Amino acid sequence: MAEKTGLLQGTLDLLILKALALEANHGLGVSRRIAQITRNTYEVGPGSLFPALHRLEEKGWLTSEWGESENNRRAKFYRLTKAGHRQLETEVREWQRVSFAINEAISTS
Amino acid sequence: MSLGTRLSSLFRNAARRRAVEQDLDDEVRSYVDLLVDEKRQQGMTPDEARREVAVSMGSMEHVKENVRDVRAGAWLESTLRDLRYAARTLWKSPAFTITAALSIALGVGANTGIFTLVNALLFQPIPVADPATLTIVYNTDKGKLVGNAGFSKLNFDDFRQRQRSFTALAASAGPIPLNLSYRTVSVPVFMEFSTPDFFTALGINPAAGRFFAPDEDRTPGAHTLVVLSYGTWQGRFGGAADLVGQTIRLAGQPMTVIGIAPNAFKGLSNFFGPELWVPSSMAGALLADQGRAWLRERESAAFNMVGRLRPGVSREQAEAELKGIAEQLEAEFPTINRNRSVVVRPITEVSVFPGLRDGVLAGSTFLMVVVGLVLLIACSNVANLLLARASVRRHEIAVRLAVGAGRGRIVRQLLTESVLLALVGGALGIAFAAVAKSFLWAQRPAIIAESLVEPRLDLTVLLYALFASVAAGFLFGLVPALQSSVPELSGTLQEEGRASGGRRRRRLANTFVAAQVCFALVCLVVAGLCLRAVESLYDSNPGFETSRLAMVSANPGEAGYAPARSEQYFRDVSARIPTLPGVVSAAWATNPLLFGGPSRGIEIPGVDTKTSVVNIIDPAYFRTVGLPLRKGREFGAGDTARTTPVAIVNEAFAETYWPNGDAIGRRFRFSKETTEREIVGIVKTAALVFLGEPPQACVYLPAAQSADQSMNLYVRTAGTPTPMLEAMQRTLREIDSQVPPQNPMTVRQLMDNNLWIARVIVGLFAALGVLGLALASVGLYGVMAYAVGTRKREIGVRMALGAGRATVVRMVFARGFTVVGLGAAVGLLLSLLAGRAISAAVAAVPALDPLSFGAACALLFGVAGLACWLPARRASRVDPAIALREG
Repeated sequence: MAEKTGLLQGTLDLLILKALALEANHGLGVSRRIAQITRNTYEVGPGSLFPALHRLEEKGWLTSEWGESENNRRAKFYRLTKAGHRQLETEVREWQRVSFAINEAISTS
Repeated sequence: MSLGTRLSSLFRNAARRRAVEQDLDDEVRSYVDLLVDEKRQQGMTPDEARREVAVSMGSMEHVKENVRDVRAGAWLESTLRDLRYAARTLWKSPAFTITAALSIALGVGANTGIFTLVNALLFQPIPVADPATLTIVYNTDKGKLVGNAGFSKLNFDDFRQRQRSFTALAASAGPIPLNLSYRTVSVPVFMEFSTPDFFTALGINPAAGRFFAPDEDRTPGAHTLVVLSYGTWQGRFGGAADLVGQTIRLAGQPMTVIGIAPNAFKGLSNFFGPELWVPSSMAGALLADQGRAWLRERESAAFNMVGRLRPGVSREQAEAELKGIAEQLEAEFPTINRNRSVVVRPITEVSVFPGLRDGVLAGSTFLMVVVGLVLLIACSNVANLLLARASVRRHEIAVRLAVGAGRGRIVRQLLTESVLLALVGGALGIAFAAVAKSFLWAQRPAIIAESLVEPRLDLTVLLYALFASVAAGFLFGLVPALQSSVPELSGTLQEEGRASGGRRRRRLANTFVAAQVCFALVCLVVAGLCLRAVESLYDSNPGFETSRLAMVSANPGEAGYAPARSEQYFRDVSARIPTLPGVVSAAWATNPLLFGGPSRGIEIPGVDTKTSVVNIIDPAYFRTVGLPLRKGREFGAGDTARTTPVAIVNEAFAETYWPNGDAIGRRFRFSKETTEREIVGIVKTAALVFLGEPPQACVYLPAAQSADQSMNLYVRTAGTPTPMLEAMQRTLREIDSQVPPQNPMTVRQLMDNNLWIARVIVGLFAALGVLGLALASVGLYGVMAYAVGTRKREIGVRMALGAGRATVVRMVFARGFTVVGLGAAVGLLLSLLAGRAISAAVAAVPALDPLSFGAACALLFGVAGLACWLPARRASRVDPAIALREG
């Protein structure tokens, strides 16, 4: 489902969790936050974003509630659950392990 | 993943799905609005911003579709995960799983079994084409259904010729018992007379051969044709492929089999139907006088009418037309058809005869309520087990709550487990019901074996069982799931100790057990009362000897004998049988015991009369059968064809018409006869059709004055009658090998057949009572074991302070018996009420029977004692030192 961004599904999940780690945010906010923390490497469109958000919510890592956006629009805000925080830790560790291994692999001459 | 979407849509209810859809819609819309705002802040005009966003978004519907797939997939995945987890959990605690599944199996099994019966009686469609346009026509008198709601053949013929509302209007009369003989077998079967378009109207096709042609009902006695039911073809003739075209004998008359009715078709009743059909014009040939009357007399209302509505004609229109014809017929035959009219009902309502329908409905409702209670009891039992188990699983659940699972998630997981458990139990229950049904079905009396309609475990029943199981799963799962998922994290994780909220749990559990005890007691008492009723019916004096009487039928008329030769045969047998060793006396009579008999109108000048059963007997009958004479004299050798026609009546007859007790010497005559008969004796009223029935009028006539060629030989024996049956048949064959002995039976067997339904009911309640008791004792044991488990420390303290083992045992028993005693007290009260209600409805059942009440209580307290004893023993073995250290 993340074909359009060329992201692995696990990577998108990790980015969303990371984007929500500090504070709750709505869909567009998550998208903008990901762009910001990846220095505009990744633009996540609604076609990938919404399914991912709902999937993470089904898994119990996110919860959502309706609230007001910064410019007073009604928007659905997502927030990390306890399980979501733990999942983020696990995924970060896993990502670091994998990326270290891949870096090692490609830098071996 | 569209399969996932479909699956999820199956399970989620529509309201919730709409809410979810709305939410998703709002969410995507708000995303667009936010994006538009952003663009405008970058300096675009609102229109430009909207266009730009629309292009970049692509299809909003597509986005939503993706979200839906994710949701459905996740839902399916988590449900599968829950199921796997539940299966693993249940597998790991087999004792709990087996007990709980068995409880549910018994509850669902009882429900499935009873519903199979109710479904067969009330909901199973009769296998006919297009039931919507098939109707039944009933005869009414002043707007009320009369007797069998039938019509005379003559009235029917007029209705049929004058009506325009039906494409086919047919009639049938029956089921009537008649003797069927083929090869060397001779058996009584139930048959039905039908007009030739009977099968046409129903729109069914023969399984083999053909049905009656339109011209095959014209000449009385000429159409010796018979259509067999499929069950009879299979059961009695082994499904012989060449049966069509062969000859069988009905009441001695050779008849040609022309066709086989389709499988499962047993006439218009959902309960009891004929084994074979014969053209209505054969009634006279097969039933002699009675049958001739059916064809000739406008007042002999023996035929039921069934009609296929013409396309475009409604039931109301047809009824209006027939009512008009009924008025014409009333004008043409004012004495016979006075106040007579018709009602037209849909065929779906006649599976149970309307006169019985209310009773069947009430009985069905009552039984469904009772088995519903059984299921509730089973549920409360499993709920109790779950509550007890929750205390063991608290740690597991607390950990899951601590790592962030929502409460809803936990409840859903626990409910998945309950429903899985209920489904396993339900499947087992359906198997129980199927086995019990085949067992009872195999036990049905042979004489009606092919006439009873078999209740089927069809799709409706299976759906009902599935629904009952799933509902049970939610019912027993919900309260424990909600209770055990209450987050009491810190407490539970810190000390794995006594339950807070334990008191509430315990009170709930105790209430469940008391309710179970109450229910079990009521069922046991009712079973006891019904058993006493059946016993008393066996023991009571039904007006005939019950233990030393045997019976065999013979019909020399079927062998083609003239009346004089038949009489000679009867005399030969009467002379010979009493010489057999072990025979006390022997006598002939036309009516088989407990099968009623022909009914005739009675005429007494100046008195409003009804009909009476007529039995033709020889002088030794009362002595042989054991029916005591109350007044007057018996028939004797002096009563001959040349002397005054005489009759003996039973007390019911005498008291109906001469309540002052002066019936002897009075005269009466039968309708359409001129002969006056003088009453010379009065006998006790014997049961005519059902043991325990209300008294029915009966007239006995001497065989010397009213000959009949089909008679039953009654033989009074000195010892048990069973060994006599063989000798009786042998002797009859020796006297005349042309007349085959039929239906040899002891009167005890007759009574067994007669009380079959009653015995099934006793068995049902006994089974329910034992079931309830088993459930209650498991429940009680669970509660007591749990109580002892959680109060180990307290017991330890008491023992340390000097309480002896006996004291501890007494303590456990006191607690258990408080609960049992409470349930039993309420149960006794309800039993008293139930006893009174049943006794009011069925006179044979006693309202208050010390033995039933005593035995039920003794059994209950015995089993309860056992259920308390095991936990009590465990409590008495608590080692204070260990208990105190652990606590």
